[in-house]
Amino acid sequence: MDVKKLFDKYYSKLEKEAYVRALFSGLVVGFVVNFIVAFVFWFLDAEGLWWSIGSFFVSTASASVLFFRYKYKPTDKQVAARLDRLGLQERMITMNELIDDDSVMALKQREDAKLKLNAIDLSLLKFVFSKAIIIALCIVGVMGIGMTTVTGLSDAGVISSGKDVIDQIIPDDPVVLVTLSYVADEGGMIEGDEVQTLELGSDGTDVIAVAEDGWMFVEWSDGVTDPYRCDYHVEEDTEFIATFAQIGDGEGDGDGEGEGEGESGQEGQPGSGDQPGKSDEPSDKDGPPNNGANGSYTENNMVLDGDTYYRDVFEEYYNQAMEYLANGEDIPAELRTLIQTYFDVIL
Amino acid sequence: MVTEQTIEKFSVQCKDIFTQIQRDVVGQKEVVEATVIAMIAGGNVLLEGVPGVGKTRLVRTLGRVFSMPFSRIQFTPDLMPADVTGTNIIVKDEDGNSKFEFQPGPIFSNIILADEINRATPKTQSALLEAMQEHTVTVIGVSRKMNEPFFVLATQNPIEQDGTYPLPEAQMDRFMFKILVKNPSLDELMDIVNMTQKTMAEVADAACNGEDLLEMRKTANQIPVAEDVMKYTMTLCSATHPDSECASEAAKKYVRLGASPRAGQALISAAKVKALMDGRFNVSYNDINELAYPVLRHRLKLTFEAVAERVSADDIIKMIVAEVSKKYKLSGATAVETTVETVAETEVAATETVEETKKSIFSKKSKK
Repeated sequence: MDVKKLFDKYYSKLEKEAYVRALFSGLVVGFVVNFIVAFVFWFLDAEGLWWSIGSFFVSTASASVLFFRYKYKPTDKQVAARLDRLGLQERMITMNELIDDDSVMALKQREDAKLKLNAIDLSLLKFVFSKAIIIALCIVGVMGIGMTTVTGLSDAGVISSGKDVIDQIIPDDPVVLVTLSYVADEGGMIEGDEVQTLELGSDGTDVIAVAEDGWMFVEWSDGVTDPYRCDYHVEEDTEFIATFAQIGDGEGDGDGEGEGEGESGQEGQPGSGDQPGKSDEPSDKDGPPNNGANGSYTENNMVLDGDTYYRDVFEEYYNQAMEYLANGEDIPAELRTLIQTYFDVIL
Repeated sequence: MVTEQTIEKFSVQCKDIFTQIQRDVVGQKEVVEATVIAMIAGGNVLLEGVPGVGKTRLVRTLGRVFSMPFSRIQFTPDLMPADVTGTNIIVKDEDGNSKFEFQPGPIFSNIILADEINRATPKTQSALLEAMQEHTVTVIGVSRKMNEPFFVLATQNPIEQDGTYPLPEAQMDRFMFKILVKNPSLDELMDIVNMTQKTMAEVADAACNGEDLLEMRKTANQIPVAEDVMKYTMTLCSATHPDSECASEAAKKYVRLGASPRAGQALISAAKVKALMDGRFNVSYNDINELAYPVLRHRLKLTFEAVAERVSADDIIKMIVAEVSKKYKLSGATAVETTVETVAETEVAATETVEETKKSIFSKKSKK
């Protein structure tokens, strides 16, 4: 016996109820998704009106289908139980269980159940909806529609975005600033930003201590001897003073090749201070000036094109050559020629 | 083997049984119905009521209606177990030699009326234990089977406490039903007085015999129980245990010891009989709910809190039934049920059910 046939009209009514219940549940899910999407877009100050509306329809449709398929679609047993609640005193669920039983008792039970079922008016089978789901639907519906409206107005610029609102409500953390100062002592100047105002812990920009004519850079106040510097992670107000020495006043850095003319001494010994004059003039015979090796940025060192300091170029090629040698390779001919040409120029 | 005829016969015999009982017992519809259900289901019954409400008369009437050997044991404090079960006595055989011979006690009958059972000592009360459960009696190491069908219908008075011995739990559990026999209503009282003024004689005739009763039991046993109904029944029994996983709130508060598995068996057996008597071929939740009271009320051991708050076992069962029904979403069905019963009445009229027969009998009596 086909129970489904017997239950057909009741099944079809309960199926309609199931559609509506699945739709209600789907709408609850849809509105929740809609609210979340609208909120996120509003909060991030992105245009999300259509995303929000689209997500509502997609999630409602998919959730409704899933709810119907896996939760609300009536089974024979459920239909039987619902009919029994109309006063059939568990005749239907028992009949459903005994469907394949051909014993006398099962047959009598079936007859009795059918007899009672025929007395049931379809109108007695009312749609039943959970109050909780209706209340939930109302709440999330208002929330979802409200949030979508807010997002739409935010997109149109009528109201502030979530980010702005949050910024207004919660002020940013105060930024702690520190000052990084580079000061040139007598005989030089600072190229680059001498005074840098930075956020605590951030990095400064490059500066170079450039000596004036007749002067040479000695060191920074923190002992750094490289005129070029860039300070990182500055944690407090700091001042660096670049110290310069007059060439020939005995304050040479000792790195001079000592090949200059005059009394400045050999091998970088500080000059006597009496005759600094020649050492700063390049000499074809005697090699580079006294301050040549330390790479001071003077006009004398603009040897390549009158605009470029030789050290900038030399160091790059020198490092390349060293790298080749360190790797056990030969210096390429092109590089070798370049270095050779350079030395030809400066010597 | 259950056939159309046996089912038909069940219906006819039920009708006869109620008709005959009603000739001697006025009113007490629920008591009569419950007692008959228990007897068909094969259970023992404890009838509790104040003196004079017809407990003993009912049992005597049942003995006649079922046409089975009937023994009455008046329980007193000096009653000994051997007085119930029987004992070996010395007799002389044909050759004049003495020998022991078993002299069966009054328990060797089909229907036992254990009148005022709580007046006997626990030792004597316990003499019934084996007979009630296993339907055997062991005397001096020899077990003897009882005649089938075998029932113990006991009575007790709830008021008089002096010189009584409350039945132990093991004994209580062996009673399928504990039925409370209430005072008759005014109309019933008038009928009782009118009837007894004419004659004190009991006039009920036999409606069936022991074999018929066994056949009725077999027929009722074939009534199917849907899985959900079975589960509901077991949940109901389990909910009476304060420590069980599905313990009800009422049980947690008011029950010290819940119903035993026998309660579940009794509920299902009795519900099958009730369903068939009502003209149904399946057990309903309502059958279980209605029978929960006589089946469970003597199986619940109440806490002091229940006693102090004067909460009775019936109150607790009502709470448990309500709680479990709610869990199974059964509430609200009763209201619609009445409507449907009315609608279905015309259809059912053709098939005369036992329920309707009973209704007509009782209504006729009331009109008188």
